[in-house]
Amino acid sequence: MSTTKNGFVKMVFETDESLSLTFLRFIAAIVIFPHGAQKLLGWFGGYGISGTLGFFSQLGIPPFLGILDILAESVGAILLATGLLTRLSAFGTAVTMIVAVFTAHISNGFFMNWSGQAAGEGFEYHILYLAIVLVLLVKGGGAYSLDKLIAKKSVSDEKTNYELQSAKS
Amino acid sequence: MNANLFHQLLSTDNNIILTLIRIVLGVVVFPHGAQKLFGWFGGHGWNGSMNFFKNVVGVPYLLGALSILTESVLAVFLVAGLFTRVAALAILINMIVAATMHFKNGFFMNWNGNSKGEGYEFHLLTFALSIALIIGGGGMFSLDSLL
Repeated sequence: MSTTKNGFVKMVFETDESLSLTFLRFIAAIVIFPHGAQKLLGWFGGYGISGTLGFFSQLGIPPFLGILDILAESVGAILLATGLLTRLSAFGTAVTMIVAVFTAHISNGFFMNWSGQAAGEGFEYHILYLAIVLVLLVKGGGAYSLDKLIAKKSVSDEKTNYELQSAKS
Repeated sequence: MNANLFHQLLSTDNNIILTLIRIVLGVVVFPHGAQKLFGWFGGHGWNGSMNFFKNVVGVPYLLGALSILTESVLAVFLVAGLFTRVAALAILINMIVAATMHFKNGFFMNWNGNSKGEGYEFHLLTFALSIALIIGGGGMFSLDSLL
């Protein structure tokens, strides 16, 4: 295995045995999945894919980005739950949150609409979500993640290759 | 308290991720505490909040007072990284109690303005961050690491 390829595998999959990351990953997945399922499948009273894309176009979000958003919240949630490509799905949901803040929530201020008297929801929710996925983006999936298995396999492959090479020479 | 246990409670590593989590959770929770304690940000202040807790929510005096102090004083402790694990545990318990009061509104926040109130997905996010701090402690730039 080439060093570049291995460096790439490391950059994408490498993580530690941290249980904190597992908690952050599960909760990020559990919280975002219902939103993705609303948009992709129309579950939980959602619009489904065509309704959602129509709604996005009213907000001025092009279909291409809309589809990426829907995938980040649905497929991305499943990737987060299993810890497969954790950094990619963390990145996707982070972008989703940032876009949501600036297209829809910043005008409502910090607070969620706790007392029902505000014009709409604020962005404190999005700050919490961003903190979680920023941690996952930097540290990866942690304990019980598929990323961890892949990183381990890549290291053991490298070792086997090295042993084969040494045996030949 | 046993000195060894005390050190274990404060022990943490030089992890800047924990710093980020601590500051974000503290900064998000503090305005809620300041609303209830000082009446800042359009809040009811101490008396108003205690009345609201007693008459509307039906929370006993002591728990209401603890909740206000947790969201204000302990949020500042979190930002400073002082007794991080204790502050994070108190915020976790506070948020679990708050979540139970939002169960009736379901999972979702009132995103479209047509639900009768806020759901508990917000509280789930605070669970994740406080659990990470209970496990990891205050991390880099925390007062815990100096004690």
